[in-house]
Amino acid sequence: MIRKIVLLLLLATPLAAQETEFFIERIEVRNHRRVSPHVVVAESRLREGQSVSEEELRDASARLTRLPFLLSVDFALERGTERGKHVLVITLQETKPFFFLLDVQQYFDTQSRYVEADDDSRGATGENLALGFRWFVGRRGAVHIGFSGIDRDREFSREYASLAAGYTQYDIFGTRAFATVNLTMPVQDSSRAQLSPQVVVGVPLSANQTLTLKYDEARFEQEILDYDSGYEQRIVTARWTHNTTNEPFFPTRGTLLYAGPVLGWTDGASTYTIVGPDGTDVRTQSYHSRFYGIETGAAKYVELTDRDSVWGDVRLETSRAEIRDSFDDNDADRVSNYGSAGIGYSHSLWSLEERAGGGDSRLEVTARYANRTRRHYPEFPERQAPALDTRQVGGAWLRRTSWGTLRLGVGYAW
Amino acid sequence: MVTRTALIALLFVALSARAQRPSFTAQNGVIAASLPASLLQHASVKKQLGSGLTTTFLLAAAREGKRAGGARIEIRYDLWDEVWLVKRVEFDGKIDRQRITSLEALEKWWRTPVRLLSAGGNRILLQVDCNVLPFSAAEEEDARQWITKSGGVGTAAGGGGGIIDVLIGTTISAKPIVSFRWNVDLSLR
Repeated sequence: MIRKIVLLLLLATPLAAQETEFFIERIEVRNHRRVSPHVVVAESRLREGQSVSEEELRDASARLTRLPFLLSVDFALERGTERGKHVLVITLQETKPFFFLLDVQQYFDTQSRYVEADDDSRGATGENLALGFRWFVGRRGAVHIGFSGIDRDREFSREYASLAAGYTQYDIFGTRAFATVNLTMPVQDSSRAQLSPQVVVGVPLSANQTLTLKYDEARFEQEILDYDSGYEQRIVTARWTHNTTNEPFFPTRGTLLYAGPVLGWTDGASTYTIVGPDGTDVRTQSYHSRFYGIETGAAKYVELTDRDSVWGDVRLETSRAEIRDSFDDNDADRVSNYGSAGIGYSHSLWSLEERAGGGDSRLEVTARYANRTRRHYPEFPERQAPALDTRQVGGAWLRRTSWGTLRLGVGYAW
Repeated sequence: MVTRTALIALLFVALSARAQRPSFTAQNGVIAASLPASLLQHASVKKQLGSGLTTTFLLAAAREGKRAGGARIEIRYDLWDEVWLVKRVEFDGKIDRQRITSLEALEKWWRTPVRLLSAGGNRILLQVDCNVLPFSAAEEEDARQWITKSGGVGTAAGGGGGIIDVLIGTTISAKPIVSFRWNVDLSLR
């Protein structure tokens, strides 16, 4: 014990004393073309007139590189107006105003059939296709239009692709929080378009932690011959995220942890006409559900060398739904549990210098196991769904440019 | 004439490549590397050195694929005092910290051999990686792990973990600016 204390004094004190703080008189953003410098400063969580350590600058730099509209950032200090004061210069490499994320991985089984791997991508994001335009307006705003295909695979709710237009306000009331308001229009076969709102609020808790609140509403209407149906879902999520990764979509180092509750409602109604010997009968069927659950996940990315990276992740979700279905007068509760674990290795085809601007080209191999169980209460044996076990291995090519990010891959699942 | 020009060009390229390479020495079983000044002149390194923030050089020596030693060098230019603040942490925890007032003095200090590991035997084959990182290492975390992991005693000979992990482990989360790798074949006799 005494030895440790002596060592602490000998080692920790001089090392800690080296930790230097810099007084930041001004923050100057350079090489910005489309991105608002105010947004960059707000997202860095640094403030003028404060002293910061190199660790805080490093965290701020990492936070900025996780923004989807920046490819890379460089930090440097310059002299301020008085001794001891500094100008923090942040030099940007921006992405283009057009953006895309294309994540296509085809899995086949022994009969070379395409199979649904029943899992999303390795990270927290589930979109496999997103594209659109983003413009920065004013000091702290950005508008966007685009298309998004969602493959979130959340239980008790529908996945849908949509057209979206929205506005994001950064640094709300000087708090570094942001809010996005979206109007989405689900794109479904034989559906009548219905505008639905979506609101996302992000509150940074620290340089690496964020609390994100999301309200997502979607409405669908279908009319096929004499069959009318309408469906509406509302989902509220709150998610705490700890993120030290180096890239928004396919990172190579850092840690990602997330956890949070999900609460949702679905309402459906359909009207159909039965023509029989006794005449025409118009019937209505309704469906209501309320579901709630917890979604958690963790991922760790480690760079072995300047080109090679390995990662592992786990995702655990549990949710319960109370369902009222008038069709067969069946009121039931359902419970779904989901877990998956994956590992992967990626190798960059580019050297560090070629990647200095933020782009990358990588080859990746992955392996994953996923399991889902679903149970009905009260227990009707004929309604119990078998557990879904999925094992998959695959390979993919990843490419990140100033235009967007893409992953193309194939794999085998069983 | 053309042949002679080509030969001179080849010699120049060879010398340039050699200039990038450190020289390794062994004394009393301790392996040290004298780093070339040209490394400081590398465009990416030079840019970072001029940033007013710390540039960290992380040296990791591997023997037969296992980590055998390492060292860390940190350099920061103080914009107001116009001095170079430098620190060198060698494999056994020895720390050298200085304030250097000129670029010439910095290059001289830079070329001073940095001790990477101790080893026995007649001959040693090493692979030495040098990662150049922006920002300083996480100092407090270093000290904490130093205490809890190894009791502060360096595992000098052939140790694959302990102090070496402490020396280099915590900074690896920063994005390298550039990296170098050298293969070393050294006689210890």
